Formats: sequence, C-alpha cells, structure tokens
Amino acid sequence: MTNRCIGRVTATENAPTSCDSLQFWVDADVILKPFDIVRVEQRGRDPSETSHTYAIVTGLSYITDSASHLANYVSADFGDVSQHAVNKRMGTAIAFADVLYNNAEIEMPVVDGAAVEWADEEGIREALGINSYRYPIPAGYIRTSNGIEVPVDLEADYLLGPEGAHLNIAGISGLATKTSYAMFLLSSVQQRRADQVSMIIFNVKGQDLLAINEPNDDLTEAQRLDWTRCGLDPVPFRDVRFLYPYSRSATQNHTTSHVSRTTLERQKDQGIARNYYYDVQTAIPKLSYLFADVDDSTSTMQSIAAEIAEWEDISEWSELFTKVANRTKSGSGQDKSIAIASWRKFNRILTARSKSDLFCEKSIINQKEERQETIEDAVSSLRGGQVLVIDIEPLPDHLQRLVFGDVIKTIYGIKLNERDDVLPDDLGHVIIFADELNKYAPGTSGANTSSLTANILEVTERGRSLGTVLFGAEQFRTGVHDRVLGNCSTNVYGRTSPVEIAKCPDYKYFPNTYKNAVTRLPKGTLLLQHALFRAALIKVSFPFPCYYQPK
Amino acid sequence: MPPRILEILGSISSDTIRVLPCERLNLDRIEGLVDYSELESINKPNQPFEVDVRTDWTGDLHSVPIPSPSLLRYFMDGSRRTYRIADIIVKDHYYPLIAGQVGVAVVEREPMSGRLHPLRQYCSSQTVLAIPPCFTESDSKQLQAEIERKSPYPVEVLRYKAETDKDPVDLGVARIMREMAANEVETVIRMFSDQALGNGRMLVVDGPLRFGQSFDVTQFRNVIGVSKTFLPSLKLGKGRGRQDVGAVTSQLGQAHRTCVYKSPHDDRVMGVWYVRLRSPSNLTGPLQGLIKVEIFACDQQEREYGFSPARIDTLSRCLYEHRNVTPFGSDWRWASHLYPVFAAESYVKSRFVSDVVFKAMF
Repeated sequence: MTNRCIGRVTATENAPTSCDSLQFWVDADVILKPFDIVRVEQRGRDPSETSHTYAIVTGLSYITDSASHLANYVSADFGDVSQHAVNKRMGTAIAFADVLYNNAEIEMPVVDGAAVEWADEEGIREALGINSYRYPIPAGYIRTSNGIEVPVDLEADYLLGPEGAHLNIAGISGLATKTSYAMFLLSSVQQRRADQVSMIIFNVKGQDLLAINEPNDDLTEAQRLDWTRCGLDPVPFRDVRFLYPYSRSATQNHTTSHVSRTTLERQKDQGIARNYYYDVQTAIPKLSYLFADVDDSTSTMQSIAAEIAEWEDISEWSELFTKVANRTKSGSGQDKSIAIASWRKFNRILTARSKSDLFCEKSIINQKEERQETIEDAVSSLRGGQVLVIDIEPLPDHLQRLVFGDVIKTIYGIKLNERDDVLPDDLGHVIIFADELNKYAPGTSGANTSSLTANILEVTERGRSLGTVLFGAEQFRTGVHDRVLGNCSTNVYGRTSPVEIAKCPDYKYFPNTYKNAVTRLPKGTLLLQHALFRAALIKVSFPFPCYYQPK
Repeated sequence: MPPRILEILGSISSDTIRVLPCERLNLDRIEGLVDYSELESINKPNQPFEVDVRTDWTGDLHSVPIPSPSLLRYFMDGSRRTYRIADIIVKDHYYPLIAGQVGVAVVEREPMSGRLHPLRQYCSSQTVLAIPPCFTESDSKQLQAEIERKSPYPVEVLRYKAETDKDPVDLGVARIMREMAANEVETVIRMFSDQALGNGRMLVVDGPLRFGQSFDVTQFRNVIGVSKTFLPSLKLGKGRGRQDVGAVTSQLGQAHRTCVYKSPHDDRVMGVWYVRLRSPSNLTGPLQGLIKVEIFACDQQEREYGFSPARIDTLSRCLYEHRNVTPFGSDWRWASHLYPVFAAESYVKSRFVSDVVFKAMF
C-alpha cells in the first residue's frame, strides 16, 4: 500500500525542519516504527515541479494538549483511578526523521504541511543509494511497517576492497545473530563473487561451523523464501575444506575436535578433512603469537622470540627446548642485552604452552597418525572460491592466538609476494572470519601492542588494498582495539546491553531511540552501517542459516 | 507586492480621509478592556420554569441514568480576535479603525471512541474591517469593491452605528462580535437544515444563546448554550423568593443543579439553570466548577408551563459526564470548561493567521 498520505510535516518556532531532519504528525490509523523510511513532498528545481525527500524515522512521540501530568490527574476527578473520561484528549503521534536524500538534489528543508507517504521498494533502495552499486552483495532485507520487504545490498568495493573493507559485528552471545549473520554474508559473497574470493573461517564454538557444506534439511519454506527475497539461493557453502587440531589419541580419530564421528568420516571420505599440527620449523617464526597475552611491557618476550626465529639447524622441538633451557643458565648468555631472568620467564611459558599434541614433527613412517598439514601449507594451497574452516574450539586461548596469528602472517606474506611458491592473486580476495576478535586485538592493549595485534592492525589498515579482509565479531566493541574498528567500513550492531551502550563511545552518535532499540533487537535482526549507505544505520533482517548446524 | 488595506482605504478619497498610522494593537491582549463575550444577559430569569416537579426533588444528578451514547454530539465555539489597526480622520472627526478575525468551529465527538474531530463544512473564518458611521452605506460598498479588486486578502467591510457616550473602539469591537454571532446562528441553521441535529445529536454552543438577531427558535430545538462564567449578583426569581445567583449556586454540591428559571427574550422564552461539575473543595473559588445552561422553549407546552424536569436532568447529567478531561493549566476557566468546547475553540483559533501576518495585511 504505497503512496498513501500517512501524515504531514510540522514545523514550529521551537521545532523547525532543517536540511538534516524533519518531523511529522502521524495519521491516527497509521502504525509506524523507528527505521521506517518515508517519502516527503518537496518542491522541485522549477517551482512547477515537485521532488521527493526521503527520510528515516528516528523516533516517535505522542503529544496531547495537556499542560502537565497534573492536568491529567485533575482530569480524572483529582486522582480517581476508576474514572473514565467521556472525552478523549486531543493528541497525535509525532515522528522524528533524519533526511536521507532528495531525488532532485534539493537540500532545502521541507515545508510545514508537506504530505508524508510510505516510501516504496524502489524509493527505499534509491534513498539508501543501493541502486547505484557496481557489485552489490545481498546483506539482508528491511521490513517496513506497511508490510513491504526491501532487499538491502552492500557494495563489494567497500566490503572486500579496494575502496573500503572489513566488517565488524558486535552483540551479546546466545541470540544466534553474530555468527549467523557473518555466515549469511559469507554465503552471499560466495554466491555473488564466486571464484574471486577465498575464505578462512575459524570455528570457536562446538560443532557450529563444522558442517557448513551440508544442507540444512530443517529449513522451512518461509525460511527459504527469505533467501530468495535477498536474491540468493538457500544452499550450503561449496568447495569447503576442514582443518582439525591434531591429537596423538587414535581413539579420538587423532584430533581433539568435537566434530561428530559421522561428520568427520563423511568429510574424510570426501577428502576434505585434515588435521593440522606445528613442526618446529614452521612454528619458530610464529612463536611470538604464543606470548601475545603475556604482560610484556619492555617487549622482552618478543625480542627473545625474534632472536629464536634467527636460529638455524633446529629440526625438532626437543632441540628447541634444550637450546632455550641452556640460555636460562647463569653465565650462558652470549647476548647481554636480554637478562637471564627474561629467558627463564620465556622458557617457563614456552614449556607450559607447548604441552600440546599440536607441537610435533610430521611422521614419515606412521601415516595413520594423520599429522597431515601445517596451517601454513593449508592456507598457501587455498584458491579463489574455496573455503577453509579451521577448528580452534578445543584449543586453549594461547594456542588459538597462535593459529590465528599464523593464518594472518601466512596470508599477509603471500599477499606481499614474499613466497616463491604462491602468487598474491592465487588466493583472490581472502576473507578471514574470526569470532571473539577481542582475544586477538584487545581494546586494552594500550601502547604495548602484541605482535598479533600489530599484525591484525596491519591487515585492517593496509589489507583492503592487498585483498585481505577481516570479518570480526565480538560481544562488546569496547573489548576490541579502536584502530581495528575504525578501519571497518561496514559495522553491524546486534543486541547489546545498556551498560555497553553507556561505556562504548561508538554508540554515542546513535539517536536515543536507536540506543534503546539495540538493547531489545529480536533474533535475526540487527542494525547495519555501511560506508555507502545514506542512512547512518538501518535495521535489517536476514535469513536463517541454510547449512547444517549439528546440535 | 499587493497594496495593504489601509493604502486602499486612503486611495479611495485622499481629500476627505486621512489615515494615521499607529501601532497595531491586539485588543484582546490589553487588560482592562471589557470582555464582550461574557456580558450577562439583561433579561433576568424571573421564575422557576419546570412542570410536575417532584416534592422530593433535590437537584442531585447522581441517580439520573446516563444516556448512552451521550445526547451531546456537537460542540460549537465562535471566536474573534480584534485589532486597532489605525486611526483615521474623516471630515474633522477622529476615529479608530478596528479590524478582526472571526471564526466558528463545530467539533463532533465520536460516540464510541470519544475522539473529537472538526466538521469542516460547519467551520469558517473571515477577516473583517469595522468602519465608523461617517462612512455611508455606499462608501462601504465602494470600499468593499476596491478591496476585492486590489487586494488578494478577502476582507469583509462592516459599518457600525454611532452611539452617544460610547467609545468607538467598543462599538467597533461590538460590531465584529455581532458578525461572529451572526456566523454562529447561520451555522446552527445550516446544521438544522442538513438534519445534522436531533434529539440524540444535540449541539452545545459556547456561551449564552443570545445572538442579537432574530431567528426561528424551532431550529434551535436541539441546541443548548453553556456559559463558563456568569454574574453572581444576578437576581433569580421574583418577590420574597428572590435570590442572587451566587447564593443559589453556592449551595450546590457536585453533580447537582438548580431548577430551571424562565428568561423571556423578545418573543422567545428561554430556560436557564446552573450545574455544578466539580466539588468546590478542590477548587479555588465558589464560582469555579459551575456552568450556566440555556435552552429555548420551543413548543407551546414548554413556552407556557416550562420544561420537563426529566429532560433537564438528563441534559444536566450529560453535561456533568462531559466534565473530563479538562484543560487544566491551559485555561484558567478549566473547571467550568467542557473539553469539546475547548477543542472547538482551539481549532477555530488555530485557523486564524498570526498577529504578525494580520497586521502586515493592513
């Protein structure tokens, strides 16, 4: 039901309309909500012409002619709660809206009494600027109060580079929104950008992402329709490989992963599941990531890790441990710049943190143990259109950081053309999706930035031109490094707590209605900000995941 | 740029009329001027005017059944805003020039929802200019024609009559008031002709039912006038039973009424009574929370013997039910104001142009 007048602009002495905002009273029979987009009558360039100004509703109030609350108390026979007034007080809902766009590029304020109508699908897309995208990536749909559903796109040039890049999703856990939305968007990218983009996805929760290549048989017809509405097919990811952390235990299929035995066997049959491990030569250049969370105000641990990276002729982990242990003995130091005490600290932490089956050498004889692939090799063999899922869920935090740092370093090395065996374009654009980003680039790192955080900053600040894109998610934006967030050209706000809204400066520019809305967003709905949207924020819904999610 | 009204006036006969610019004053905002709308009728209510009154009658309305829906469906308010826009000298006589905006609004109360909405077909507003008696009827017509020819603003030219010892300002304002009253009468007659009014669809008019002109009272059968203010010193009744209105009403409790008094007016007979809407204990004065109600006696029975107490009780009960909500804090007369009348008043005033715009027209 489009083009129906639903209210009229009201401009008063105290509340004038402006080139940025307007307000209108709402027809008593109309139901409106924040984030609805309306079309307002405006003059054209020529006085005989008309144009249309589009505006997004940012708030709603109801006013009456009552001078005070006391007047209402008096109107109930001085506080008689059983009293029913025969006359209904004059009142109307007033909608407040931010101007988005005028189709004749007129920025004059709309005038008092101008007719306000529902914006139709075409108008909403035009108002948001979506219609002019070169490479649209479906990103969900807007559901308006008048019952229309408008698909919303992101511009690939601003999501995957080179103009802008990176996506951040914040929101409390348990609402199946952060991961689901990231996976929806990744599926959307895979369907629209096909072989030009490869993806690395970290599984951090149970078996959540360990069957993304299998269809979700429970998907209802309505849920399929949501995918179609976005212009996408309700199909699982294609061309997926899985990497599981290696374990010596044969009873656990040589992995510590919680993937179900049947799923794993199915994947092995298809040749898409392998176990990853760290041999010493691969691990040595990345040892600093094992120390990313260690308090290291003088960067001593990083200096030691850097020195060890220069050591040659170490072919087994036992050799490394011995050599490091030797440096902890009095009088052993050739290098006086790093104190023995620091070596001892390094040795203690290394010894404790390397007690994992991950740290082993590849067996040449015993192939059944399935120490199959290093992260570096797996990432290097990735090609455009492929998806690599790395299961880090069973690993403790410090090992998760090592794996994540390894992936970042490897990709970055390839993209900077540091490898002879892989060309930068072989991988296409690489999207790295990491949940719990606060673990890798914490907001409290301050002046002393760990090597892992430094690598992530490098990716977010320079990655867009190199085709390396970070999709990060976390519960609270305050937990993530400011510069990482600042470099994301697309931000997604899921449901969060009022405390986070009060603490996080990013929410300060939200209108109050949006601040309240973000504390009660329903499942499958979030606020989206994109570099090319004309609106600061829009509220979008997105389809239910169409890949199998083991319980 | 179109000529101002005063320029048109000055151009008609520059030899005999001198227009002297002065500050354009909104007369309604000057304290001390007479409140023309609240003058009491000079026709004193002289005797009780109800038939078959029960011996145990107390005026208590609590036990009177509440009609559902309410009999009171429409509410009308006439409003005016007057300005002294200039002084003029005509043939050595000095006169003030008074202009104004007059309007009438009728709102309908939806029986079920209680929502109010204006009936646009019965709402009107106009700009008027009251010219002194030195202008002849033909002068008036010529000025009217010139304004219509030269000005984009429709202005109705009115002549007021000279009266000795009366301030010309008061006379000019009174003429504008009469025009407003004429508009109110015309509106009621149109509603009657349109068959909008009926026994269960009555019209409440703000203020007394004295419009200063003749009309057929049968057209006002379903019209009552409700006044928020009245003279407490007015005498009610005759002979030894005479009492001041203030003395009678001070004894009224909440949801009580006085008996109906007969008030002859030219060839018309009117019934007048008072209803207390609110308990005085919550109010600041003895006359707050009281309304004066008027109704015409339309048939021979009523004209000769008076009104049926049951009908008056029912109307009074309906009025009592309309006491809420109130414009408390927005209008000092809130305790005696019927909200739909307040809404009609707000609506008609909202249709007036602002003081700045009005003064600029002249």
